Amino acid sequence: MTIMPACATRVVPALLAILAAPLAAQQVRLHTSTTARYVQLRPIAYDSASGTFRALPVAAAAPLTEDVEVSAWGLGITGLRAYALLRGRAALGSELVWPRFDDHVQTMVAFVELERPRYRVRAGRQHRASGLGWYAFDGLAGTWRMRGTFRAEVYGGRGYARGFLEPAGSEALRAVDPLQPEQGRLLFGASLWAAPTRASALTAVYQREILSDRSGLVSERAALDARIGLGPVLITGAVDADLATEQWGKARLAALVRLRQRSFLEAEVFRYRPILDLTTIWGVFSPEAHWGVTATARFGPARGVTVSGGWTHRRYEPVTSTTPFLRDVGDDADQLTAGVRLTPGDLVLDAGYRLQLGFGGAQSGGDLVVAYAPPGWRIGARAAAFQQQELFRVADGTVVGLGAEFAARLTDRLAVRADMMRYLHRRLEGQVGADWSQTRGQLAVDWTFGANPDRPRTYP
Amino acid sequence: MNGARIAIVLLLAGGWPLAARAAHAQGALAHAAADSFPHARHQHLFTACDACHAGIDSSDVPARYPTPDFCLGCHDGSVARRVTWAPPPPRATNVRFTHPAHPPIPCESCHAASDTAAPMDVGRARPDRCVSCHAPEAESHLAQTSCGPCHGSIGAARDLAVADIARFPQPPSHDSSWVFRHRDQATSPTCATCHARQWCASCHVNAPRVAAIQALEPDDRVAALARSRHVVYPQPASHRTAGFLRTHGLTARAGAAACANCHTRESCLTCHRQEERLAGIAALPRQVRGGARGVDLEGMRPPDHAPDFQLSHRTAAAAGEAVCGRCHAPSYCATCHAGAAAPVFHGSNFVERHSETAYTGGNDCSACHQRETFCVSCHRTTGQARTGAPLGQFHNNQPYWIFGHGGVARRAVETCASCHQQRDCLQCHSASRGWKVNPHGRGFDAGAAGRNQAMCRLCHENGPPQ
Repeated sequence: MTIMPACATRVVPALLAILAAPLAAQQVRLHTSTTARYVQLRPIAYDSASGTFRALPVAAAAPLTEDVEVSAWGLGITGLRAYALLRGRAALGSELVWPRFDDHVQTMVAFVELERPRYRVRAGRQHRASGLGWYAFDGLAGTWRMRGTFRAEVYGGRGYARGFLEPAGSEALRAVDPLQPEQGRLLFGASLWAAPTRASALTAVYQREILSDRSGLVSERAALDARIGLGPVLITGAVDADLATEQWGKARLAALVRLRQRSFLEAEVFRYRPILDLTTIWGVFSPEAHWGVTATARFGPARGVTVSGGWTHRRYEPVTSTTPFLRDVGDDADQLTAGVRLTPGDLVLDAGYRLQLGFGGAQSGGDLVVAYAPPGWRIGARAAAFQQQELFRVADGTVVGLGAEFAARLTDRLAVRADMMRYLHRRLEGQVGADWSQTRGQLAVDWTFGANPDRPRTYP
Repeated sequence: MNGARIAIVLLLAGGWPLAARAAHAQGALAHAAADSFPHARHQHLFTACDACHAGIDSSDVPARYPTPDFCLGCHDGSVARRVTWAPPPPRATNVRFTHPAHPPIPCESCHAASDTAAPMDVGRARPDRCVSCHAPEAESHLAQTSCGPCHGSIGAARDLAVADIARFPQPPSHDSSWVFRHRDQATSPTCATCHARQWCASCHVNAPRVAAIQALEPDDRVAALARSRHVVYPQPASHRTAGFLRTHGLTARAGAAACANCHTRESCLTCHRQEERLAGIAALPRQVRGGARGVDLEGMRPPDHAPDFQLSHRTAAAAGEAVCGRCHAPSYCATCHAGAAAPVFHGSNFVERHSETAYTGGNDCSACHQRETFCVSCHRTTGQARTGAPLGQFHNNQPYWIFGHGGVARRAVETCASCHQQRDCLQCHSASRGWKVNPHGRGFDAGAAGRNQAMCRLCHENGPPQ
């Protein structure tokens, strides 16, 4: 009679070996991030009597999120470490059903890793960020570093829904769309990375997802990313392809010229076509791609002064199914951005403006932040204003927001930040619909325990 | 302002124990010259030093000064006003000087207040007078390359209090660049004149590994001063060269021992997250409680992280976590990709004005969000999304929107999916029920789509047409 599962006969000795490692060598780092938010929303509802949408009374939500990040090493085997990122959620007296807050505890990442100069093996729940986007899976990943300039990686396991940390086929997914397949999915991928020169790198990744019962394909994708540095010029390019439907997806080619330390010019041409899984019908509507160009400039004419600007033009395929009921739909969209950042001493002034016209809607908006930010803490005021007239949706008007922000690093291991904004919405005359008059705020505390204080969460 | 600069420069000269400022040095010399007995006022009464200091050439310390009764011979209240005077206690010092070793020298050679002072205008001996004989070419006694001839080690001078040590003057050699040069002389016994092991260890994170530091005696008084010391690590010139960030790994591999003077593993781990993989890091000492803190690095922004990198990091991130992971933990990526707080990636107030960006795919929303779920859950909460019969009024109060939506849907089908469920579309776009409107546009490849037959059967109940 078997009294112990087969896998346990391997796991138990391994755990004993780890526990037998000298305690003095074991190190643990714990990082917690507690965020309490207060969010007001004004839902809209269709009034069948008037035949219009009207804004309902303000409803509030107070979601509380607790992230706990644990990293442990010194486990008796050089290069062995365990890592986990757990998230707890709670709703503090919410009047709204806040997304995902019925999932109180979630393991976002949890893996054991063996890192050696030539290879790395990782087992558990992990994320994979690549030219294909952001995927998560439970499984194995192995990286082999043949040389410092060449690396190969394979990975695979139980796949999660793309951009959504839930197993495909889970109840959480089916709740938002009951036609989601019941099966889970398996994900496999491989990537190659090469850096022929110090300033150049090339990455190719292939990934395939199938339904867990092997009854169908979910997606089959590939991406190629390249960057070439030629002195002050950095050329980057990327393309991804939907091999399942034999369609090209997104692509971009950009050249960035560094002028000085903080100045650059960049020009980019891009193509956008969404990638949609074969488990939904969205892909069969034959989504069309659009092309665009972007020019961006940033200058630092003087110490503490940075000025930036950009222009993006998008060109869409002409609408193929024209009807008398769809008029005045342009084939172009333009976006202009401008910004200035002044940092005289410990003062910070950040101002930005954005204008968008054409397909997708019209929007004109600006943001202003004035802050006093000596080393270690920051206090400031925020203002925002925008006017928009959306296309195909009932939302328009002018919104003005005012608020304040505060952040302080109390010790090397403890930091707090808080902000609050109040928005006032004035609708265009004669219009009805959503109302953005509301208050939003958050209070967050970051705390690090144990060995190796972590790097700051944001760049200096 | 100049004083502040001088103080900073002296602070940077980490080899000197007490952050002694120039003012301290001046004060120490002035203190040495101070004398509580008014010799000048007694010059006509006492014309020879040995009248009072008869035992100065002997090793009999009490005999070096007259007794208080000697003063009362005059200062008895009738001949002269009564005074109280007592010989000074033995001075705490680490000076090796003894009077018996210098008998042929006239007293005023060392004790005269100045070269032109009156014969009895004397005070404590000035160190520069010592140098006039012992090192005629030196500008001051602090310029001596060796303290040994005159000073013993600080450890042997147990009478010195912490405050006395704190007033030690700073040699001119200990200038702003001394911290980079002191290694060459760190084995000299002269260091022990002022320094003890704990002082070096307050900067050197590798103090237990450095023989020159371990050769110094530990000293509790210096340890007390070291605890209150504000250590500032100056940046070596090599660290300021272009490309150092990129090439410092080679330097670290070639000589981690040099790095270990200032850097603990924690310094490197600020950016390098793979704790035990890199040999250069593994060779460094760990930060220990009570030990030197080491260089406290902020996370450095690599040069290829151009401004607005968060919008364009895809290509760099495509290099995979093995590269990004040297600096970033998975939680760092999750800050935006699965953020708990208000989005860092998007600007403030983005939720109110995201629709234009979402329509154009400007930020490649689907790289992080699955629109069919992420967007729907919020849109449903706010009433933007609904299920059931098509309601054209939402789309600009256009009741006949349903008849013209196809072209827009092809351009931005992800936007449709951010509110609508699939079955909303199937009410019309189904081959087996409803209006049976064919949704497939030009270029539709039924064979490719048919690689998941279950999806086809949502419309074609008998499977896709052959």
